[in-house]
Amino acid sequence: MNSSSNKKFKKFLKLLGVLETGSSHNLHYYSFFDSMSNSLEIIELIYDDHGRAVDYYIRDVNQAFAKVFNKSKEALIGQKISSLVEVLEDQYLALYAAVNVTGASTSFKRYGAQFDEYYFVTVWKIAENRIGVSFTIVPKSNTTEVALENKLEAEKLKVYTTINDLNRANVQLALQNKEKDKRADELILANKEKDKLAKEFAIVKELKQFIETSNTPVFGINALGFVNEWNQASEKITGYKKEEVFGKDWITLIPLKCEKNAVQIIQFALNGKQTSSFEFLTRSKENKEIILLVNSSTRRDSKGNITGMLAVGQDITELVGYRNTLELKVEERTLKLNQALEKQKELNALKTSFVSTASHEFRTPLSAINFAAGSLKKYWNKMESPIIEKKLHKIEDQVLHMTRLLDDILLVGQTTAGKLKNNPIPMHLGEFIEEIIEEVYLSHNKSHQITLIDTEGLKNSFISIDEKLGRNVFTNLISNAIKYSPNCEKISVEFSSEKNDTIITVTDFGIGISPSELETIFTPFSRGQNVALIQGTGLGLTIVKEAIEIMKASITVKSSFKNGTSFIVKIRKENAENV
Amino acid sequence: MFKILVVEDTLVIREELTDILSLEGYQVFEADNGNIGFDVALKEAPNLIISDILMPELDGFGMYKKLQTHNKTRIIPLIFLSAKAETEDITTGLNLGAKNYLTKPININILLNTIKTEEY
Repeated sequence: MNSSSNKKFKKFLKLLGVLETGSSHNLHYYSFFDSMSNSLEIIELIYDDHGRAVDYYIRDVNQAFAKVFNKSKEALIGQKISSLVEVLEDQYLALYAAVNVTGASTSFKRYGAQFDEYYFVTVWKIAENRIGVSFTIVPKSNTTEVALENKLEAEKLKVYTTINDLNRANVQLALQNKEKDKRADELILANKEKDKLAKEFAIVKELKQFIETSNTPVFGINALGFVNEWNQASEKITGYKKEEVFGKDWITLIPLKCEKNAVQIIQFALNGKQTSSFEFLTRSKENKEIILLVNSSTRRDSKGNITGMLAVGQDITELVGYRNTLELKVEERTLKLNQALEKQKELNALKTSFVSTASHEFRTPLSAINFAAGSLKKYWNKMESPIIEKKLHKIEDQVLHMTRLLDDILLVGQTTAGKLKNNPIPMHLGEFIEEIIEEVYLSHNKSHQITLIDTEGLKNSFISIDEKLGRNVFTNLISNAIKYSPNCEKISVEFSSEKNDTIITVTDFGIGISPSELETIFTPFSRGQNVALIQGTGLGLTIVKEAIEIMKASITVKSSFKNGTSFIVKIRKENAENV
Repeated sequence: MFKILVVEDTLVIREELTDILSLEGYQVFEADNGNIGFDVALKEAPNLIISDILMPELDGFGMYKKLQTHNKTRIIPLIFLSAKAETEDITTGLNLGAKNYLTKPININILLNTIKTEEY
């Protein structure tokens, strides 16, 4: 054996993994391999990405193998089998791969398309991916059998391949199933989360709807004071649509005078303080003032950070309006009450003044009686009987005067208490008035000349009048005319008539009544500034006025200060009485 | 003879006073208002004046003030005799300088005793 053959053999042994180092003994084996009549090849399988054997490298061949291909050994070694044959037969590759996987040798008969021969093939594993293959041509007489066997083998191989594929597929499927299970679990979790979210969303939606449709205005602002909540009630009350106010500075919706309050509410809320029942003014789109009772609370996010303010208001504009109306009414009533109180106070003052005046009026006759009676007692023996008689008369007179005074006071009491009734009877006008004139004329010591003027000839007509009340009226008026005209002795009483009324006018030319006092002449106990020196109770005209009212007659006064006064009494004619 | 001037607008009272004072032995002068009262006082120089307050023309207070304006009348003591019986009326009268203030009705003996006080 030459040196190159020796080298090759060493290489061969190395390939076989049998020897670490070559020896002459080993060379002998290689020669045996090389000269065998069976075609031998040593191959290295080439796998595709799926682990399927698709080709192989020829790593060594013997002379017999080279001869089959009609090439030198060198031309074959290192080549891919696919480059040497026309058809790469999968069945062979699958078998080789199976041997490489299992390590178990196998032998079979098989048809080879390349050279159109049946082979007896033995395959064994030499080392990892080093497969030895030996081909022996089967004589033609055995071909039918071989063909059958080959067919069987092919079927076996198919099953095997299928099993292999199935196994791989199974592994793949198991992997896929595992992935699927994992994903299914994830899906369940996700669904659960989704359900939870959906429920929460439904609650949020419901709450949102609740706020939105609430009949009280609910509005909110963010931490910067910009509106971010505005429900339907807010829209309705203010007239501002949600789109108009969203993102707007809240302050711009508040009238200037209330800005301070509004700012305070916001600051309170943004500092985490609540404001309750804060009454404040805002305005609608139409610039109508709206009064809201606001409860505000701080709005926080899930982490507790302050994000704004939420306010629930109550429209109390009407209520406030009502309250204001009530206050106005109360004020009005208070005013009226105060006026009444004032009047009452005045009346009380007048009553006090009446008591004082009345007591003064009583003291004068009492004093006269006291002196007369006292002197009768003290000087009885010194007195002549005519003087005694005169004093006794005086006492009687003064008692009479006091009685009249008492009657006056009682009359005022009765008229003001509404106790006097009007009982009109037909009275002869001339007789009625003349009688009164005579009475007054005499009671005032004939001091004045009283003239009756009757241009219309009414003297003999009848008037319908309550005798007592009528007498009271004219006695007082004529008596006053005399009392308040100390420097003029002329008094006139005049009859006249209008369609429905008989008119009796009493005129004097005395001190008159100052214009400022004309309004109060009928007020009880009032007396003019200019009558301080003329005694009186201040009740005369009060009695007159009361009597006139009870009789449903009327009285007016015309006066010229310092020049005289006229009192005009109108009494309804009998035929107009039934109205 | 002790002279007393009675100034009183109410006739019955003036008459009674005059009767009583005459019976007591005084010389009595009469006036029915303040103005006349001043004139009589000036003319007759009475030892005492008894005066009402509420009178026409010039009332008792006015007459007293007028009396103070004249040397001859300023020294005449005066007693008010009035139906005005309220404290403030009495105070006003006494503050003016009246010797006394009597209210109607008054007992004859009290009146006479008061006059006697001024006599001495």
